[in-house]
Amino acid sequence: MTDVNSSRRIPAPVYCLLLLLLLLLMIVGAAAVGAARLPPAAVWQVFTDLFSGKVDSSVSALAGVDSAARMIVLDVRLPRIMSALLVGSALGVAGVVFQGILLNSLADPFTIGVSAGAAFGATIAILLPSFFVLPVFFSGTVIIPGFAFAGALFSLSLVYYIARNRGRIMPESMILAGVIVASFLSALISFCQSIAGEKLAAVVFWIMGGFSGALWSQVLLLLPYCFVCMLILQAHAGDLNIMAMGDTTALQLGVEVYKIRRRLLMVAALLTAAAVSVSGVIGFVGLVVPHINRILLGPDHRRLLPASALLGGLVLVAADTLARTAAGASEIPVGVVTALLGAPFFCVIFKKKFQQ
Amino acid sequence: METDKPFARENFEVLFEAADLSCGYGNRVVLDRLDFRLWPGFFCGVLGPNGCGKSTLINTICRVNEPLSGTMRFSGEELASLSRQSLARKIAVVPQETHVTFPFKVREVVAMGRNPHSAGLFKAGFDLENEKVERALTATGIVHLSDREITQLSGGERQLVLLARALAQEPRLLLLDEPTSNLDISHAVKILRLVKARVAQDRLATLAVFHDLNLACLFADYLFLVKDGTIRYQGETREVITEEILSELYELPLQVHAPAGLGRLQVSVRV
Repeated sequence: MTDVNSSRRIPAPVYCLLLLLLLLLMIVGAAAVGAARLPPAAVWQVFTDLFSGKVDSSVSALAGVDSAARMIVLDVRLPRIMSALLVGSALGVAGVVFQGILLNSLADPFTIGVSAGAAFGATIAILLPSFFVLPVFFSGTVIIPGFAFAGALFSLSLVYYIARNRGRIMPESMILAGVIVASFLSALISFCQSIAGEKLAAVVFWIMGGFSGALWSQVLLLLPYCFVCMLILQAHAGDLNIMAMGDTTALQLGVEVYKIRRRLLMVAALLTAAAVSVSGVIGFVGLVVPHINRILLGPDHRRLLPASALLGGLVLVAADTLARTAAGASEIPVGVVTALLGAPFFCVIFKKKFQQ
Repeated sequence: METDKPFARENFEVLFEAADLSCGYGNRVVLDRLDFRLWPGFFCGVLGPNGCGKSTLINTICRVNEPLSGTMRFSGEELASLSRQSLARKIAVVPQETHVTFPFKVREVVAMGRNPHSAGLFKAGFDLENEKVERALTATGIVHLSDREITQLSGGERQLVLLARALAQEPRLLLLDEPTSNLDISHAVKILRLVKARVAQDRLATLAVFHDLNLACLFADYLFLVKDGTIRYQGETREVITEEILSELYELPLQVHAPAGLGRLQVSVRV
């Protein structure tokens, strides 16, 4: 009997606890680095003040943390960190669901064209003549994400409409429809870019993804939204396991395959749409994170979903911190960081797994 | 395997009854207006040439395919009125062969059989310590495999796992869709023996699609012979396994022997 090493799995609670700890360290670390370097202890002080309810800045000043540091942490860095955390979690979880439903290990949150829709929406928003829009200040925080979200929903409904056949959605037709819609929208985006003139840079930069200018208001919108979506997905984790055995088997085991698949696709796509509309298109997180967790934890979706939320958040906070600090004053698009580091890392893991 | 007892089937309790049942896909009718019954404690078999609709029949009974017309009743209850979950508590299927993408462990796969019995949001459906799971693993003799990944098993072992999963569902009707077509003879006999034991002990009703005529003779109490969209013949194995019927069914000269002292029939090709 050959016991292959890859069948050994890490206990999920231990793994998740470890990730949680790392995530906490990462948040403190990320809040400490930047243009103004702060001692981690001061950051920690600000956090503990926040959670013990000492919101009034005059109080924490007593503890030796000056109000400038406090402001940098709470108003500038923390909203950005939290955005990256939420978007990373959303992409990680959506990736697990898409791979599980489409039974395709190459699937990721963008397989069915949601990202192209979001990018198209954002492009339109950026190119709209400024007199259409409210004050410029709003355009970055409300208009662009709003348009991006609408664009994502638009492409999702298009894909859904194409892939639907007598009330059923088959994985292959979903992937095909996604490819068709995405390439159509990409052509539209390219067309828009060709007539964008001086706004071209803004369009390109948005599509590459990033968290500069993240605001608490976005975080507070995103947080309950993501939470509800993830809760719904977690509720169906057992069904996802059974559906991984194929449609016929799942039907025979009492799972309402078509209904549940519709619901899961919708929720996962909505999760992706929200993430993309806040951050732009950030590749690789939704592909790599589920794979790493599947290698470490096995294929049980009840563990994969929470673990991927944690790992996705961790990875994207780390990537965003690199993106804003690695190149000094100028910022690297975070999507570039995730792909540059993610691809080689993924290669190493994959090679190792298959050589065993 | 003993078939001397008098079969007055009208007097038996009926578990499953199909009336005027047509099966197919969209406009294509594969099986036309079938009438048949299945009884608890009987191992029924389906025989017929390739493409005659044997698998379609299985898939229609477990409602993977909706019937084109007609009714199916399970202990008097209309099958169409049951939810998928309650249906899966009554009917379980052992498929021909399943391709498994993800490396679930054997115990996890068998525990999936408990899904129809779990309820509510965040339902367990995956209760690995469940005694029913344990019992199914024991009954099929695969306790020693329970921590192996299903993707690493041989075809015969995998088929045992799928049988264990079906038994964990605690069905009253077990459907087998050519469960042994990819197995060697020893694994095939092992699987069918296990099923036969459940039929005898738990009065499980069973409908199995057979490819191998001799395995059908060996295990089935009652046979449905399907050709050209209808059940051409049905009856006790001894009644319907005749040279005329089989030769007509497969359009091939077949010979039926009744070796003395064996108590069952053997079929071979006449050359």
